[in-house]
Amino acid sequence: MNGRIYFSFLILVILCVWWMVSGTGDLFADEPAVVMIAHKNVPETDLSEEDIRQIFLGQKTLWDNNKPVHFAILDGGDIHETFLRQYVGKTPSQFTNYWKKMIFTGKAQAPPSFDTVEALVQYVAENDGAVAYAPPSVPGEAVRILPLP
Amino acid sequence: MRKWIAFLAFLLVPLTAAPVLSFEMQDIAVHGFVSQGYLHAEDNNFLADTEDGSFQFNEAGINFSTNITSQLRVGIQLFARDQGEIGNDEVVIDWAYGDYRWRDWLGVRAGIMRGVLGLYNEIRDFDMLRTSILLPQSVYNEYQRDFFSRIKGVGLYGDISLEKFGVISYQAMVGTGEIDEDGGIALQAESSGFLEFVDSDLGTVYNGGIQWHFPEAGIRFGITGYKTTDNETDIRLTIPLGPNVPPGLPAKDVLDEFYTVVYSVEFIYENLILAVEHMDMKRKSSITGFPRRIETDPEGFYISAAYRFTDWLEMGTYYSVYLGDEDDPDGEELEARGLRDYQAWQKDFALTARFDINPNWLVKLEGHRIDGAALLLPQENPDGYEEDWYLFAAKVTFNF
Repeated sequence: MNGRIYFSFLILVILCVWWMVSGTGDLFADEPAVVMIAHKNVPETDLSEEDIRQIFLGQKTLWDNNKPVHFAILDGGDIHETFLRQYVGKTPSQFTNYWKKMIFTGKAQAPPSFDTVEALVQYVAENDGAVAYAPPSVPGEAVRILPLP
Repeated sequence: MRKWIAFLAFLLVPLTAAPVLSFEMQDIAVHGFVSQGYLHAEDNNFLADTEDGSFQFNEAGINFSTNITSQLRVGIQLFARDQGEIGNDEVVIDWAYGDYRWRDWLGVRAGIMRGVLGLYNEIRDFDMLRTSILLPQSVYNEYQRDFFSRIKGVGLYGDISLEKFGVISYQAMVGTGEIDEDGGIALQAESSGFLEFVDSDLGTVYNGGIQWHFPEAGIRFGITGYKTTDNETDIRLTIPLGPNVPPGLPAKDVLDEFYTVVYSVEFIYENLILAVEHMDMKRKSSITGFPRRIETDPEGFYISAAYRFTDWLEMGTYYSVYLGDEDDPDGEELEARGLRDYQAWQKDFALTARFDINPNWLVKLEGHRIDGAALLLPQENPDGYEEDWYLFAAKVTFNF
């Protein structure tokens, strides 16, 4: 019975810490800008923050027309880190760990990842239902640029 | 040892031909890992012959998976481990299942699946996926690791979007499991001193959980449970339990009631991860021919924190409290039976440093200051226990 009291107390401590740090403002104000890019047949015209987060965590696997979502990522770099922190809520190491968990428990395969923005854009342009992030300077002829929330 | 080397070779052979470390063979994704650890404890043996230091603390696995269609996938993972008397590098199927995801909110799996319990049971065999070497023993008892690790059956799962309020994820599985007669459960059963474990039929296992991810706040709440019915173990008595119950007599240990529930909270803010979990277990059993019912209600909880300082350095700590019976937290009933009061609890303060050398290699060092002997086994400590003791662990892991 004591354990339950301690447990409740610890939850209270965690919630207090969360409350204290959750109002610390926009930590990403000076980070590089990011846009979402999608294959031209993706039916959605915009994505909410939740949509983006759930896509990149493998929780949203189908578009509204029930066609599969294929998301891709960059191997690393500022754009990758900014996108993950701002829109997925994870650091690069937390994101890598999350997907390793999916891989080693058999729940999913790792998303395709690319060294360069050009290769990432090419993947999105060539694969139905593909979606990714890119710098705002990305050429918009081959892919659709979706507004970010 | 020969089996271990053969499995290691099997695991590493593909690497010699691979241009990159994780790779695909005609749409079959292949990933694997090898961990080698070392345990050393002062005064007590825990998990292995740790008083002398032990390298019998390793894991290895390799998996193959493929997407047959965009919604149907199959895969298999082979796994081997050694931990003192447990495992001995026998290769087992860790998971092997088909997975059809009809919608985001409903998928079905069939085969051998990883069991869910708390935040980390699914990953407890995979050292590279966490900060600490040993998970908090209050919730993730190493001797019960194989028991909770996998379930053979069918399951439903899904992610239900709550829009700005996050996602509810659920898993529900029903099936059965296996207990190794040389495994941790057998060692714990034999620690009573009056029986020899022969074989076990886990009966029907119900395992599942629900988690609410609220990413906006970096927080997730979870409740997970594990229950068995018709669980019977064949045993052989080693001492007389009555005038008609002589030693050597085959008997059955019938688990009349068994369940475990874990309540979890995790909070992530930037590079900081905090977690709190609480475990309640109830176990009622009876032995054929023996009138007394055996009832224990273990309880455990912990709080942990991990912080990543750089790409290569992460540090973590936790404080974990395990009670062998929540109704006897101070060990008074144990003392009345002639045992030590400190066998009623195990309070563990742990500190870990994790060094990620590169994306494939990592090294961990970990120290534990432990009060109590609730999870120590008498057969591994024939000279008795020390109440206050230290455990040191180190581990090197390669994964691709």
